[in-house]
Parts: sequence; C-alpha cells; structure tokens
Amino acid sequence: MTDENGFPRGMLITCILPKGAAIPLMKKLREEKGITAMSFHHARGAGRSGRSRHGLGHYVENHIINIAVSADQAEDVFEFIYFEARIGEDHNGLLLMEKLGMLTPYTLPEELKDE
Amino acid sequence: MMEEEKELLVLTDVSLITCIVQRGLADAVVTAATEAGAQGGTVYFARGYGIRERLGTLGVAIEAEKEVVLIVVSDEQADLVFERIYLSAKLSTPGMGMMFVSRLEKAATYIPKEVIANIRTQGRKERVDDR
Repeated sequence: MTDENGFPRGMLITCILPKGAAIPLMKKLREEKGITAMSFHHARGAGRSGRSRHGLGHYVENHIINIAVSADQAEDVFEFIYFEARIGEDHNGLLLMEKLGMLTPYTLPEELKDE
Repeated sequence: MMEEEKELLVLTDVSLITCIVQRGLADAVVTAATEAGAQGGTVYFARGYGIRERLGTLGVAIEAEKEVVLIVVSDEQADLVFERIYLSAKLSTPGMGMMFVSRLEKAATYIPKEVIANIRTQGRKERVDDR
C-alpha cells in the first residue's frame, strides 16, 4: 500500500506503558516483528493508576513508545502489543493507533549484526 | 484446566487531544480536562522553538521548556474538553501554547468487566429493538 508519491501508507502506534515496560516490549517488537522505526520517552500520567494508588491528583511514571508502521502491518503489530503488554488488564496502560499522512520507509541493512 | 480465551477489546470513535504549554502549566490542563469528563492525561517535557524568537524582547517572558499533555477522549467529549482546556490554559494569549485534536483509528486499554457487560447488554437490546 503506497501513496501517490510512492511512500508506504502508514500508521502511528502509541503505547503509554507503566515505567519499565517499554524496553522489553521494544526488544520483542524488533526480534519477533522486525520493527525498527520506534522510539520511547518518559512521561507522567494521571488517571486510574494514580488515583487508586495515591489518591486524586497524583501522577505515576510512564514510558511512551511511538512506532511507525506500514498500514498493512499495523493491525498485526497492534494485536501483538495488546497481548504482549497485557493492555487489557488494569494499570497496564493505553494503546492508540492513528493514520499518518506520509511515512518514509525505514529499513536496516540485512548484514547489520546485533551488538 | 480451561484456558481463558484471549479477547482483544478496542475502543473506536476516540480522539487524542495534544496540548503544548509552558512548563508548570500541565497540571492545570489535566485538571480542566478531568473536570470536563476525561479519564486522565499523560504529561512529558519538551523544548519549544518559534514564538519566543518572533516576539523579540517580549519573548523573555515565555518559557522555552514546555510540557506536552496527551488526553484521550471519546469523539462526543472532544469539543467540550478542548474548549475547557483552551479557556483554562488561556491559549488565546500569544505564547501560552497550542493544542490540536487527532482522530484515532482505535484505542485499547483496561475496560472494567461491568462496563463490558453493560455495553453487551445494550447492544443485544438494540438488536432486539431493531427487529
């Protein structure tokens, strides 16, 4: 699936996860799904977790992963993350998917070895 | 032992509100959003560039360090939450920040069992009413 300029149509998957959950998930995404176009950063979240553990107005530490995937891979990756990060369970975060206007292909050379 | 069936529950008709404000103002944004019906918000730090440089000496009053607030709301709630944040964060003032809404394809999170049961009962009832 490509757009009129020949770029792949893409989706942005955003995972808001509890602190410490991002790196193991990113490792699995790379090893099992071959995803390399992703990044993560720290954040703080106010919601169910903060309220139930500390009362109203408290934040908990989160990790946010942004993953750019081609549209034909998006459903599969979304489902993989849902079960791998156990998103459907309490206090395990939030998973979002949105359409991207454009996406540049991002592939690594095949011969590139793991460090 | 029976293995529990894996079920993927997704939310549709949801939007993501992204609000970029000066450092220290994110809490007010999250409070305004929660009061308007949002379930919560996620905040992270960023560095802004643009308006300070354009405002010249007046730009000194604007913090380069920013906070970005992410709030997921249903499409129905989006307008109200957006308006409340706009007013509480005084986004009509130059340099105070910016905000935008993106439509999400879908979202997933923990949904309490009683909410799922309610939705299913409602769905069944609507189907029966349609007949």
